[in-house]
Amino acid sequence: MPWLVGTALIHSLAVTEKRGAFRSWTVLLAILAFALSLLGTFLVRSGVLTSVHAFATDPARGVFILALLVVVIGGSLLLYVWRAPRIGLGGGFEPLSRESMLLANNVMFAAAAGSVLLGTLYPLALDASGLGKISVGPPYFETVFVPLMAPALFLMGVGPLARWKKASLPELAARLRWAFAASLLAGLVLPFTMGRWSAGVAFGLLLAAWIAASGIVQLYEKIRNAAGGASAWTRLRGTPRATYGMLLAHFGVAVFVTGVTMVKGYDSERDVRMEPGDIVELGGYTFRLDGVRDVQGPNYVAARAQIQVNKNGRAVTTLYPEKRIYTVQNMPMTEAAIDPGFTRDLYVSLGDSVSATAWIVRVQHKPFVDWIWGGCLLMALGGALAASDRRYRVAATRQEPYAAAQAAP
Amino acid sequence: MNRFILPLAAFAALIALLGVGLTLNPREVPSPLIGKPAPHFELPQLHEGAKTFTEKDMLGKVWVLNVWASWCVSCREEHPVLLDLAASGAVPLYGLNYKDKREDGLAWLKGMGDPYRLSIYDFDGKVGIDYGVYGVPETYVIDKLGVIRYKRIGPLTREIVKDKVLPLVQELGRA
Repeated sequence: MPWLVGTALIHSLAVTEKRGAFRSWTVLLAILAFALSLLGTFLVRSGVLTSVHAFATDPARGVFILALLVVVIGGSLLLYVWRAPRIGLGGGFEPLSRESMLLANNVMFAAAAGSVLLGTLYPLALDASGLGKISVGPPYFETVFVPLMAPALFLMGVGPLARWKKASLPELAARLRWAFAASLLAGLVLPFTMGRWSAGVAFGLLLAAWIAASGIVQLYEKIRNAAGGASAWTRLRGTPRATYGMLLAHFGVAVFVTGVTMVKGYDSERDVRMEPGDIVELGGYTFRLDGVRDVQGPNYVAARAQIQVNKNGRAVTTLYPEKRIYTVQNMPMTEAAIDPGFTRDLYVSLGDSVSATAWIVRVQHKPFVDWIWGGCLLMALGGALAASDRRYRVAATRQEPYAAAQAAP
Repeated sequence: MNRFILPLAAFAALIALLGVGLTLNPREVPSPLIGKPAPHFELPQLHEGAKTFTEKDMLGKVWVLNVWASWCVSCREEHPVLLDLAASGAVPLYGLNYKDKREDGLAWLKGMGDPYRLSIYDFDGKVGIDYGVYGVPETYVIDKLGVIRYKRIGPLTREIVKDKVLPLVQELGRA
């Protein structure tokens, strides 16, 4: 939630810096981003929600953090009530313009954060009003989040190309037609490389390709359009770092969306009973259980299995999942064995031993799952790049947009 | 009032909700069996393993079923309350020895005292699953028709016995 609101904040700030508009939005988003961070701190420590993320259930601690929330966020919002009416509107803009697209971006990200907040707090609200106990899980979040984010992902391609104040739809369409064609092609064709076509995967890959292709269009236009006969290299060097940061971060989103789409569309899992020598096949790989032996760790005893992974007859890797018992508190833990890869992760874990020699083994094949992490890494790098832009270090007076806004009613 | 007050109003509502939330326990799951017939079982008795006991043996009587185990620490807390309840004779008390070794269960009762008319022995916990047992000790009040009327999750306290169990038993006894 803080990430969603923080991302909205970054984009809202762009408008505030450039045109002096969206100032109330920006202030409110900044307050809300921190408020959600504090809320997260409260939720995992107070025991108010049952969750895998909750690690301490201490109502006393919860009361303290709640008091902190009231002081910090209540105070900020009180200030907002008092001063926001005086902030003013800033530069005007047409219904189709970069500002309107960023406004839509603000709304969609805020709505997405709100929907996640609703799903998180709903069980608590029901319980508090005595209406019963329910749990809200992935089905809700996936159903609600994807339709809210998909338009935002589409706008990612159009927004950076739109003019401030007033944009022209025919002009945008003309500049983006090849990017759109390429995305359509990618969405239609790429699913076949994984063996099976599905509309969900096609749509996801279309969006990812759209973001990447429109990013390339932006970069290309930067090189091509320039006053005077400056060379491409000069133009590239003259482009502010913030623009490269944006391109890299948006590309990171494309990578992320690709990872999520591929994993959701094509991951597979099998739970099988295996004796030493048995083979299970999954995702084109064969997994052979060579044996299980007892090992002694520093503070645990474990049953360690040796799994040989082959593909097309050639050895890929050997994995060693374990079933450990930590002796001090007699606590069993399962240590999964993961083979990470650029195009897939392989995951093997031991279940229970069902006889003297046989074990339940869970095998998972997750295509492109590391692209999820890679996409986030690229987003972070893009953000760092943008934050290191010269204009934040130069102590220039940034009063022109605000002065212009004061002048305009 | 200006629209800028909306975030503050929403925040106030959120704080109220979280404040209430701090007083609740999300881990406690109320039983869906209240008002439903007690699930059928036929289990060997703890003391006399050759004899069995089923819930049908208790039709026509109001009775209390208490789930306990020798490895359960909270059971020690409620045991004096159970002994007093049994001594008062207000309601027959039966025990369900849950996922325990027979010797351990017998030894525990010998050392702590036996408030139960008899205990049944549920070694693998299957009857516990039917009754929705997820945290030992748990206590059920079952009426003359074999319907579960009350479930207490956690140790019995004197207040709960006085305020909930005994009045309910009296009311069911009159029916």
